[in-house]
Amino acid sequence: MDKRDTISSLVWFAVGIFVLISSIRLGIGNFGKPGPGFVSFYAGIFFIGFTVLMLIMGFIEKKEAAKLSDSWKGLYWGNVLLIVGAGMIYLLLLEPLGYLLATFGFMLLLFGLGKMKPWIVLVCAILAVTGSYYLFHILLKVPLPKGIFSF
Amino acid sequence: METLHSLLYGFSVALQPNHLFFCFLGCLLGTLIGVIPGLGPVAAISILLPVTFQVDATSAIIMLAGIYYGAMYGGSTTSILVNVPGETASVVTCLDGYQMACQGRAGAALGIAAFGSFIAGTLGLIGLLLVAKPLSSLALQFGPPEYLAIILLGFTFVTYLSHGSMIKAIMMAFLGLMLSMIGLDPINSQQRMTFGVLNLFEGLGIAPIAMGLFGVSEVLLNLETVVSTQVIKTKIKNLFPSKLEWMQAKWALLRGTVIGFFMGILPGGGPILSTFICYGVEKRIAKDPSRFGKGAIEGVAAPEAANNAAASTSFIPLLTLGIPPNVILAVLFGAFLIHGILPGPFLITQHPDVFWGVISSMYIGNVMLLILNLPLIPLWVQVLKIPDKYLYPLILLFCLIGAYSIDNNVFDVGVMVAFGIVGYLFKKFGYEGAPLILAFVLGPMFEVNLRRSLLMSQGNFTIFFTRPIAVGALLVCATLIGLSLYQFFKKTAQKKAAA
Repeated sequence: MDKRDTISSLVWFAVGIFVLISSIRLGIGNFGKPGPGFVSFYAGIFFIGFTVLMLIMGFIEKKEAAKLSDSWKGLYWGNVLLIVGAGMIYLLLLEPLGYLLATFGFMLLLFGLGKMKPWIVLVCAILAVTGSYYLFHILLKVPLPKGIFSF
Repeated sequence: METLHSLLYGFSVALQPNHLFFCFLGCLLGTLIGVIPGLGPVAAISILLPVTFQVDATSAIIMLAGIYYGAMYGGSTTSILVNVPGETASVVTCLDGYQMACQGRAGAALGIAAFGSFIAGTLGLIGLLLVAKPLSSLALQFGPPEYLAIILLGFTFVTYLSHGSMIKAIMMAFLGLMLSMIGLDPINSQQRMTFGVLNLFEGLGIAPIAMGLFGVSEVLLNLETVVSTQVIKTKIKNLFPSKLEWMQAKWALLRGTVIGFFMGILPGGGPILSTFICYGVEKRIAKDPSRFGKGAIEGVAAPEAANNAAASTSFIPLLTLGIPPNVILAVLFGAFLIHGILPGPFLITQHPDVFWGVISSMYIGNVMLLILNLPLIPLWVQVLKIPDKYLYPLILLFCLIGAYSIDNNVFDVGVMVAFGIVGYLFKKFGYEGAPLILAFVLGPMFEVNLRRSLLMSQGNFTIFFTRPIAVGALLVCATLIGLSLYQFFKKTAQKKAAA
């Protein structure tokens, strides 16, 4: 059976249970006077029902066995991990460092993944940051975070 | 006569210099998005949505609509010249368009795609014009049970017509519905699943979710592969198809337009599905079906006509009923709400400038697109040669600023990044984002109409079976569910027999 389906079903099952518990706490009400948790409660029940159905189908259907790693076989998944990690750090640093500095660092990393010469990466990052700053902050008046250096 | 008067009023709005500029900008960006493989109109509209905050609602909707139908035009260029569809509605165009280009008929293929798109888009708009007002008047008589039944129909169609596993599509729709419950209760303002987080009080925003699911996830997927785009080396000449080619394509164009027209209105239908259906129809009725896939001009004309007609008519349910029929219109629905406008039967009376201005701008946009697409094809070919290593960091940068500028809040950027990761995992695990977004947008309407219907009937479900429109919609839902169950059991029986 496809392990990806099994794993995702289990995750969805947990999500469904969480929604059910939250809905009961909110108050389901009754058909004549539905409460705030009414729709989410029944959506949660159906959601759990379908996750269980998917699990059962996975066992019944003679699907070709697939491992979790199959989805990442032969791919540069390290790049994705790097960008996701860098994205998290960017989120944490955006307000303290300000838009220009934090985004410049993030862009250096992103363009750097393209395996270009260091000076091209630097120029691209500077152009991207200053160009976007001009477009959004100067022209469109979007108040971008200034950070500790006040720029 | 009244419709003509309203249309003229619409033109007086659409022809204002600022609206003309935004119409042109939308068409240009839409064509560009259509040309660039990997980035579809959903991601583009989501990313550019915050840019429109600084302009008036009419300009914003005109531009975003331009991106949508502009992408339908632009998508054919990559399908024909590179054999890579610029967006999903151009997948079918690859089959014969690329073969025509290989045979040295790239000009004719690009020409029929552009002219076909123009003709179908314009005919679709005439349909939109004729149907919109009567449907708006009819919708004024709808009560909560009717709305609930139509929303249910939308849910059923979107899951029935999903590309992959139907169970997964249904699960995504339920997940979208549950996500839409976060925030304040629409009836008694009680906090729901907010965990005391202030940013969640108004619920999750459609823009960061759509940007994450369709924009960021696409960038992440592209970062793990190395694909070089090979543009076919052929001289593009004779963009105006010959008389013979027109004769071969004319009925295909018309059939594509009709199919696209109805598929656009259908909840869950839209441009993508219409291209597959009309290609199948053309192949089935052709005297020599073996020509298809080897450079048949009908194989380019019909799908290109269909996706443009569908793009025009898919505005009908959104503008008249306030129900988005597909995921792109769901994001546009979000754009309407952000600009303080509720699409639906009252739009025509409360915001006639938006209603008629947007419809009229689509006529102008179609002319602009014809001009943009044919003479500028060499420019679009150059765009295709921009390496991904320059493109994807810029897309990600746009997403980041776009998400931030919604409320000038890092929280929205976090939501976008989180849904980017979720969208990436969805694609790895075989889930689709479209049912989730559609259910997320329709969720609050679904909840309010269900609860109001039950309050009206004091918990009696027969209220849904005593009103003709509600009964009709529910019957279609039941038929579709029955059909999919029949297909499932038939497939299982065939598998057992084969084993």
